[in-house]
Amino acid sequence: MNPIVVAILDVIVWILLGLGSFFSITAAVGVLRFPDFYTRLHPAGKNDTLGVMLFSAAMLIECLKYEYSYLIAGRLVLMVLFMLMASPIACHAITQAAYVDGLRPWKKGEPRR
Amino acid sequence: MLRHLLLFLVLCGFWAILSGQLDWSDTHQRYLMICGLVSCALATLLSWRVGFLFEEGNVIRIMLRQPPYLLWLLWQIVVSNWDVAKRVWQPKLNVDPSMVKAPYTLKSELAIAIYANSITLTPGTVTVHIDSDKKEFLVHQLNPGGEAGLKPMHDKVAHVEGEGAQT
Repeated sequence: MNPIVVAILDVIVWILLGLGSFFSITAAVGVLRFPDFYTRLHPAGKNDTLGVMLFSAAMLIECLKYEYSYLIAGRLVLMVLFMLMASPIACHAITQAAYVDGLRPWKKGEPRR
Repeated sequence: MLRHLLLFLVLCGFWAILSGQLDWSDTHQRYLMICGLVSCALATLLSWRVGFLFEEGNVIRIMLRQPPYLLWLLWQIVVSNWDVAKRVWQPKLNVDPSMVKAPYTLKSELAIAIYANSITLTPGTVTVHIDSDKKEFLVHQLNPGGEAGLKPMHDKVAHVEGEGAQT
């Protein structure tokens, strides 16, 4: 493959990896910073999904550089679809468990828990 | 019956992508492929016995109309992620959470699941509880105003589900 194309692909891969790391770290910091259980699930459920999707996109582009990588690419696409379904369902299951158990949502102005 | 055939084909494709060994002349790979066919058929048979596939609406129509919706959803995910990320990194904590109720008129379980997942993934909201008797979701939102984005999303999912979808 043309070395210039490889260099461009490398740059795109690094940008995607950086963005994915940013969103994953944001999810972790958000879980630590937000005041109660329900609000903590917002960064955990959303930013983590986008982080994994960006990582997978980076790996998908990295795949393009090699021959016979369509199987790996297919697995990556399946993984992203699975994450897109599984992550919100897990988030919802945890939240519903807390709701059924009677955990009261935090309101603005209360001390954080 | 058509649904079971579709499920069987999808499972076979899934096996083919995950195993990647599709050389019929090789003895070992032939063995693996036959194992795959047998387990796909078994899974289809079991889901037929359990009766999973009868309550999910028009699966084929929903799958055909998915791609444009998925693209729109991806953009929404990026927007809402940026919003949450801003709130996470702001030095002063700027959240004012509340619970709101979101009614829905979707019929099939698959569409309801898609809608609930989309709510969790997008505009600062998480689906907490699904009340299927009153036909409404209980939604936890990070900041007031998040429910404004729910109605257009519901209409999009209703379009994906299609008019007069059977249950």
